[in-house]
Order: sequence, then structure tokens, then C-alpha cells
Amino acid sequence: MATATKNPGYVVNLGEAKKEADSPLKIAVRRFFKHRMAVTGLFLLAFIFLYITVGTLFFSESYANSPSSVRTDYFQAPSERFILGTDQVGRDVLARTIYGGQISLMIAVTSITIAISLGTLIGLVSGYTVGTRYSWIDAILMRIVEALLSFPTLILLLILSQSFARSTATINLLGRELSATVLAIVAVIGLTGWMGLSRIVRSLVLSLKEQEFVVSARALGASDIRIIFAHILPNCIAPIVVSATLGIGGAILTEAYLSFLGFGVQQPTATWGNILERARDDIDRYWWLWMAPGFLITMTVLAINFIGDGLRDALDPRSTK
Amino acid sequence: MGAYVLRRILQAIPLLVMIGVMTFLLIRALGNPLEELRNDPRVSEEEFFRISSIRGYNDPLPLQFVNWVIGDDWMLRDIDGDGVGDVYGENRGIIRGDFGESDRLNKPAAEVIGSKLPNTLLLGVSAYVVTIVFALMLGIFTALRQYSVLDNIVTAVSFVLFSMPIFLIALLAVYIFAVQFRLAEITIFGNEIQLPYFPVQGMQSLPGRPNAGTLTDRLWHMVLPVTCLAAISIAGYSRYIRASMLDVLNSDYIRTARSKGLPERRITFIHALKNASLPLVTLVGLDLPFVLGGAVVTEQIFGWDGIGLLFITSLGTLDTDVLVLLVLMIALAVVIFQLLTDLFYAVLDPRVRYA
Repeated sequence: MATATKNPGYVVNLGEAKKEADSPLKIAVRRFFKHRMAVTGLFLLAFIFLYITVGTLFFSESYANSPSSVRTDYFQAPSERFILGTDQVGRDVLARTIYGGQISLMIAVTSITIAISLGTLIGLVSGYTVGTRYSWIDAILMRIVEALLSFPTLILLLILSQSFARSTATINLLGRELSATVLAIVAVIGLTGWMGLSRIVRSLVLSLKEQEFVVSARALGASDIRIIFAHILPNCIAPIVVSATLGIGGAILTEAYLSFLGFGVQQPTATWGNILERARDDIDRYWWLWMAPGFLITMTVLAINFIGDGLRDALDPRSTK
Repeated sequence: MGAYVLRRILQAIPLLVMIGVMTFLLIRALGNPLEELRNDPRVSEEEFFRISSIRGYNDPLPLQFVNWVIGDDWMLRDIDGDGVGDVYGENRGIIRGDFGESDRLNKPAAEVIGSKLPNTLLLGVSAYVVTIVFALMLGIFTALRQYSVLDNIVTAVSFVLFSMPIFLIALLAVYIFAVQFRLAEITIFGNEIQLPYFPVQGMQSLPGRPNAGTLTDRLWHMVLPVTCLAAISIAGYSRYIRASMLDVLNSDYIRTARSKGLPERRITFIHALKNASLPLVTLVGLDLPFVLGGAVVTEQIFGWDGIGLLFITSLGTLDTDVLVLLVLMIALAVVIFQLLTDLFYAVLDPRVRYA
């Protein structure tokens, strides 16, 4: 554990005062790239990105999503023609993991963007209103957070997804025909993933707003909005970045759980989760249906967890590495 | 202490009310659970209206909520669609211990949940005990040998397990220990040996099999689901114990204990573990109530007839009263355990004041 007596790294020793101090960002970047696990994570993630982008050069999306006309193509074990085998309607699992990966990652990133924005905003408002005449806002928001945290996440997600679980509507997104459930899943994951961060941000704001730089900003006549967004928010960035990173890994898992239970993105749009939906019933026979997507999910989440861990160490000002 | 307990209980009341409102509205907003009956040719439009009306699904949501709480046996319900009340309602409301009926099974919701709860507790608590025992062993061991080869291996494995969806672990376990072991025939010293394989489905062998329902049969069926559930939690818990052990082992009083010449074993297991397990109490207290919710995915894969499976079935058929009671039960347990954890912590740690 770092102790207060150690030099935190960005404090310049008197002896070397002539040398210019590195910016905190530069220090963080340097620390991040020294973190062996984080760099491994970056490489893994780069490989996944290559897989889902370069892969599209070999297969078209309609090939991945439309059932085969030949019945003998159904449930084919991996062979030279289908490297990762085929699913219950003869679709190529390799092609589906490529396009499914894009959808899974897109869902994870957008839903976590929603969750992070909500969590940050609610944490800022809640923490800032403590001790003012608007403290009832904080009381209400924190009771809502407590109530939401009392529900098991998966059960809450399943209830919210129930109403559109069998929807067959489609939407057109960036020229691609997708199941409308993609948007619904994004909303559901985004709306249930903000509570933890809002508590972290709130407690940070509570300590930050009593510090001298905020008090002097207020004395200079800065408005509340300016104090919140220009002075307090930049000091909350580290935990926000870390929980956004780890959140993306969590969202990939969440999407997979929902799809696995049949409450996620609906066919024919592929995601890593719903490729293995059928595996639930036929574990012993169709192993290729769950091995490839399962492996890809684990590898991606692992990479993201590594990066999150590295970011946490790199952004921690007490760290001396 | 007494005043502190009382205040904490009073604080929990608005939270419980909020949880109740949220749960009820969230689930009732999913729509009329009887909608399926409309497709049934044997049920006429009038019949459908009558049933919906008696069950209260024709009322506006706020009135449904009031009736759910205080019952509807005080108000006349219109069952023939003429706008005039005809018969009194049948629900006595949750304040009088009536948690409604399961539309699917025509049984009281509390009875339906009560019948599945022991199964879930059996699975969940066993997995939890296994988790704690193994996590403590791994956590203490890796903390004592920080950065050794074994510590690095355990770290790597827990990172992988932590990143795995539980269904992948379950599917892998089933594939290896049930499917492949069954097919495998190993020859040792010229004798063909059939590897022991684990059952994949259910909580015991089908009735009629020689040892169906015996203790060993039940235990045999628990091995795979318990292992899968425990594997993921051990990964997280052992990291946690390792971190808090390291924290304590580097503190001054441990150095004092060493300089007094106490045996290392005594230092580790009495002096260090006592303080290092304090944060564990919090973790267990906050996690344990979620066992009640069952392991939705694991129960689904292994056909374990518990709360998780009941939840998925009830959600599929919109069995609202069962769903509401189920979610409410878990949330209530969470709030109670939070309170107990805080109190327990205050007792264990003399530095905590009941302010």
C-alpha cells in the first residue's frame, strides 16, 4: 500500500526542480504501458477488432443472417466448408461470430455510454445538493439508488426485457437491417447499470466541494453549473474511466446472459449471446454452437478487465509505480 | 445501541415502501396476464371480461396497487360489463397476509414460491459454503506467498474465471464430466474402466431408477451445479481475501507479534485472519440474500427446480402475483441483511460508533 510519506510521482523533488514535471496524463499513459497485463489486454482486444472487421471482407451480412436452403446444412459439425460449423437453420457460425461480435460490442459500448452519463450526472447532482436547501433531491435520488440496488440485476433486466422478448420488428441502422430488440437491450442495460457509479461520484463530490479550489471558485462568483462541470467533474474522471471500461466487459456478459435465456436480441440478427441460445437445450450434441462464441466472449471480457485493471493502477495518484 | 437499531429500522421503512411500489408497477405494467385467454376459442368475450375483472386487471394501475396492499374485498366488482358493481373482490391484500394467486397454477403465490425455496437454498447455500472455504484457503495461501509462481497462476485463473459467463463454465463442465467421461473408456493394466460421470439434469435420478432419491443420489446431482456456481465466486472472493490479508500482514501489530516471537501459524490464523475477515463479513452479508433469487442461468442449464427456474417460467407466462412476491422477497432479504451486516460489523469492530 502506498503511504502518504512516499513521493506520489508527480510531485517534483526540490533537487530536480529545474526539470519540468510531466503532466498527470503523460504519467498515467507511461504507467499504463508499463502495466504488463494492460498491454496484453490491448493486444487481445486488437485481435478481436481485427476478427470482427477483417472478417466482413470474407462474408456478407445477409450470408450470416439468412437460413440455408439446404436441409443437410443444418447442425453441421466444423468442417472445411464451415470452419466453425453451422447452427439450427444452417447458418455459418464463423460468419455469425464476426457480425455478432460487432453487434455485441456496439450494444456494450452504447449502453455503457448511457449508464456512465446517467451515473455521473446523478452522482454530481446528488453530491452537490447535500447540505444545501435542495438536499431533498439527494435524499430522493439516493433512496432510488438503494431501492434499485436491492433487486438482483439479472432479474431486473429480465423483467424489463420481457415486454419485447418476442418482438420481430426491425430497424435500419447505418444502412444495416437489425432487429429492433438491439435498441431495447441497449436501453435496458444502460438504465440498470448506473447506480454503482453514481454512488462513487457522489462521495467524490462530497469531499471535493469542500476543498479550497472549489471554495475559491465560488468566492470568485462562479455559477453552480460552472463549478460542477469545470471544477468538480474533471477531478472525478479517473473512477469514471475505470468503471466505464469494466462496465463494457460487464455489459458484454449481460447481453450474453439475456440472449442465452431467450430474452435478448432476437434472431436473425446475430450476437455472441444468441448464437449459443440453442446450446441450452442440446449441450451434449452441438458443442460447436457454444465453444466459439463462448471463447470470444471470455477473451473480450478478459482483455477489457486487464485494461480496466491497468487504467485503475495508472490513474491512481497514490500509486508509485 | 438500541436507539441505533431502532433508527436503522425506521430508515428502512420508506425504502421498503419504494421497493414495493417499484416492483408492483414494473411487473403489472407488463400488461394483462390473462391476454393469452383471448386466443382460446372456449373463452368468450364476456367470460374474459368477468375473469379479468375479478382478478382486478381491468382497474387502473394505481387502484390495482391499492387493492394489492389492502385487498379488494371491500369493493364491488363489475363482472357483466354494465358499469354497476356486482360481487365483492376476493383478495385480502398483503397487509393481511394475502399475496395473491398464481394464474398459472391456481395456487396461492406464497405456496408456489415456498415449494421451490428449499431447492434453491440447498443449491445456493452449498455453493456459498464451498465458495467461502476454498476462497479463504486460496486467499490466505496466495497472500502468504505473494508473487510466487502459484500466486501468479491463481491470479491468472481467477481473472479468466471472472471474465467467463457462467453458462460457459456450466456447458464446459457438462461437456467434459458428463458427455466425454461417459464416452471415454480407459484401459489401465489391461482392465477397461468406465469413468464416473455426473448427471446433467434435475435434482435426483428419475423415479424407478435403483437409487433414486437417496442421499448419495442427491449429492451426486449437486456436484456439477455447485462446482459451477462456486467456481466463479471463488475467483472474486479469493482476490478480495488476498488483498485484505496483504493489507493486514503489512501492519505494525503483526510486526510486533513477530518480534514477540509468536509462531507464524498463530500470527496468520489468529492475529491476521481475525482482522482480515472483517471486510469479508460485509461482502457475505451483502451477497448472501441474493442467493434467494436462485441462480437463473445455472438452474436453467441443470434443470434445477428452484426459484430461478420458477422466475423464468413465471415471466414467460406473466404470472404477476408470483413475480411480484418473488422480487419483493429478495429485496426484503437484501434490506434486512444490510441492516444485520451493519449491526454485526458494529459489534465486531470496536472502532465503529453508532452515530
